[in-house]
Amino acid sequence: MSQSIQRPSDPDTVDGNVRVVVCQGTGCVSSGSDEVYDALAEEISALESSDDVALSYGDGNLEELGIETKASGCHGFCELGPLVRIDPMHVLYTQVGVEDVEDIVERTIKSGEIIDELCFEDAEGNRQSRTDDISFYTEQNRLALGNCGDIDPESVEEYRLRDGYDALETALSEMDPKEVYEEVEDAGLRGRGGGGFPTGTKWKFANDADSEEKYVIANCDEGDPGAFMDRCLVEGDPHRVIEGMVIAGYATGANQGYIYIRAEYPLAIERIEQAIDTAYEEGYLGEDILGTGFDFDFGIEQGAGAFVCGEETALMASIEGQAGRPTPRPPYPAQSGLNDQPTTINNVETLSNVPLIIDNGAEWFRQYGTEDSAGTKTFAVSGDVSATGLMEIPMGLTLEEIIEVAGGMEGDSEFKAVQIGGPSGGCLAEKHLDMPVTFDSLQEEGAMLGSGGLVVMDDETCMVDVARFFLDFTQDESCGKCPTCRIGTKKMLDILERITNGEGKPGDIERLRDLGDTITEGSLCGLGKTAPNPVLSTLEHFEEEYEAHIYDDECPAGECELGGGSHAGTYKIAAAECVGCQQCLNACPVDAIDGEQGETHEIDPETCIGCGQCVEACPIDAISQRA
Amino acid sequence: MASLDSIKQSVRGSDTDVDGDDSGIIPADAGIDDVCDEEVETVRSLVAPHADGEGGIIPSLQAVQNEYGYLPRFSMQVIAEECDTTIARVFGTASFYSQFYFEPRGEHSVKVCTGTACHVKGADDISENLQEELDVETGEVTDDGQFTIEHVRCVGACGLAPVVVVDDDVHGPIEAENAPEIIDEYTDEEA
Repeated sequence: MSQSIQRPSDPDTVDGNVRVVVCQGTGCVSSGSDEVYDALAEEISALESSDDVALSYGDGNLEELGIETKASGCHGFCELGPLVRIDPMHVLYTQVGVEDVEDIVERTIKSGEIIDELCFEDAEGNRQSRTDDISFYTEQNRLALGNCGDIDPESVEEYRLRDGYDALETALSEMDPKEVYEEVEDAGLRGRGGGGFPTGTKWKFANDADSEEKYVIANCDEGDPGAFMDRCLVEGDPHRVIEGMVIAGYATGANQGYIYIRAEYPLAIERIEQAIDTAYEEGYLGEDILGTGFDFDFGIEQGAGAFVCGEETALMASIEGQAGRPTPRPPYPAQSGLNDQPTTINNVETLSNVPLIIDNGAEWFRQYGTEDSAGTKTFAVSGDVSATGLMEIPMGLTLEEIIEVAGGMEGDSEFKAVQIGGPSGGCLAEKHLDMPVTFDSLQEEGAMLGSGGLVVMDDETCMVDVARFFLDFTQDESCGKCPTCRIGTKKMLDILERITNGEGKPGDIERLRDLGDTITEGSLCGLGKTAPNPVLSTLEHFEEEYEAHIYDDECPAGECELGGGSHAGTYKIAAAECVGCQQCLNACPVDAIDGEQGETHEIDPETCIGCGQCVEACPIDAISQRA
Repeated sequence: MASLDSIKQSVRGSDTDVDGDDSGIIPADAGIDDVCDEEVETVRSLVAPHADGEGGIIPSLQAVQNEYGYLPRFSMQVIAEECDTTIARVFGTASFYSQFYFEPRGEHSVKVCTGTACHVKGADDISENLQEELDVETGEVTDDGQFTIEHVRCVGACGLAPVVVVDDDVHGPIEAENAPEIIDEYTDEEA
């Protein structure tokens, strides 16, 4: 009997069985992992009665321990799906197809052999067979995501075997609400949804509010393009979210909770529905939870496709059946929120950290991260990196380290920028690679952590186009309440579209900055206040790209199709060269040229007839024709 | 689409010829007096579990749209009655959210993800190729009523970027030139 797969030193198997875990996250399912699961389950259930299983498992043999096929939530290694992991050996097979199933059963399970072709190939071309040897996994500290990809999200027993609902019992029976929110405050947990407000403090405010009726809401309206950690948490470990919610309810004095979840996440909705039903059956929800006399009900509210509803006042308006338009604060939700009652709103990832803090204590949590940004953060890393996916790392790693965990740049592409924090965030450049990523460091650089979406871009990405992309998004999603946001984002978008079409005009950069400042100052909610960030941050770090578009009709990244657009054939003046002699202005037969003596002149492309007289007149050859 | 069969019988025009009406779809502007009572009852039964003041508006709209694929005018009148509010409030809420449609949609929805990761990896080209293949603009229904192309913001499958979601199936990563092949899968299904 071959015994090439050895038991690792830290076996984790929730029920003593060897588990063939097939990822059933959205990413893997769309690569066909549901079919792989079915095929494996069929083959393996046929095996149980067979005695030729060669996988060794410590001192026991498989026949005594059993082998089972399990579906799990997202492992995070989405690009290489479908993923199949064999535990407790931690053998990982990537990009598994139905056609590989027979091989896995015959060679690995029956003969104990590792199939090289299915193993992850690292940057040096070495095949790594176990997750313990793959840097994507070893460099992470999976706390919030700890169970995702390991346990069956539909099984409360598996959650319990991982200490699930222990924290709830501790909180409800051994701590009073004040001790709970103080523990969370001491841990330094800050809101993972973008704002970074201290969670314990938020709970204290709600607890202080005097009202019979209070609410807690889990915010899973994950609208940032490029972020999908909340989806993975709800799909992969829904009971953790419920446990965090009940603890939040206890700490704030609320007896009713809701999860507000995007309708675009059907699998997540299904999983949380199922988990809520189970939690009621098991006595973790409902009346007299765990015999402690605390009551808590939990319902689901589905979003309807409006990005602004991630903002807490808009979110509550949406639950009340209205258009999701934000309202001014104060009053803060902690005083007057849903149905005018005190309401606490926490992001899903924040809530997933809570049971861990109660279980292990504030000090334990503080060993991760930095002084002001304690704990870990999940990042959804996508774009031009080798291993796009979901990862959880301590706060305070540098951008460069984060990209390394994601396997580095894809192929031989050159790093140019990262966009962090979605439409509210900003772009960071090469000089920021050694900057530690925390709530505050990002804010200082005009970006923001947001929900943790991180899109890595190579040198073929045009930064003006990236800014245009985000403005297109926020302009579309602006709820229309504040004129600065409604009209301002439209104006900014118009200018950016002009620039990327090759019709940029001198003064556009100043206009963008001006509009950006106005929108930030004059808008009510976070969406408007941060909408200009992608433009302002790219202007800050990549102004030369804007200039190249406007003055030289050139897209340095080669992405925008310039060439004058509708202005082809007209003339333009190179602003850097123009001396303001007014010779062209006098020569123009249609008065298309404007400019004071000694200052840069401009040709209005709408009026220009392309006669070329200005070119003749210019003494320094600063005028050229648009292609 | 069991409900569509019942709809066939349900349009109560002035020259009522219910059997001859094979469009199969309630006109979007049919009011509560233009459709038969059974249809109104169908909507009422869909809405009833959610109706609880104005807080029930969005779940009701979602339930109706799940059944009909869009929101005919009469359904919003029913929701207003059930949720004890005005049709203006119901329409005001519905029109705010991008999830709701007021016109019938194609049989299959083709959603091109235009989230950041997909954008960076060429979602625009995919959308263009699909529009060309189906000869339809974004947001419109193909002549045969089979497909509607729409742009959506991030479906959370960034690891597979760029992706296209047809009905509930996520396809990715997709090469722009191969995008039309995805449609074939669903066209064949109909044949």
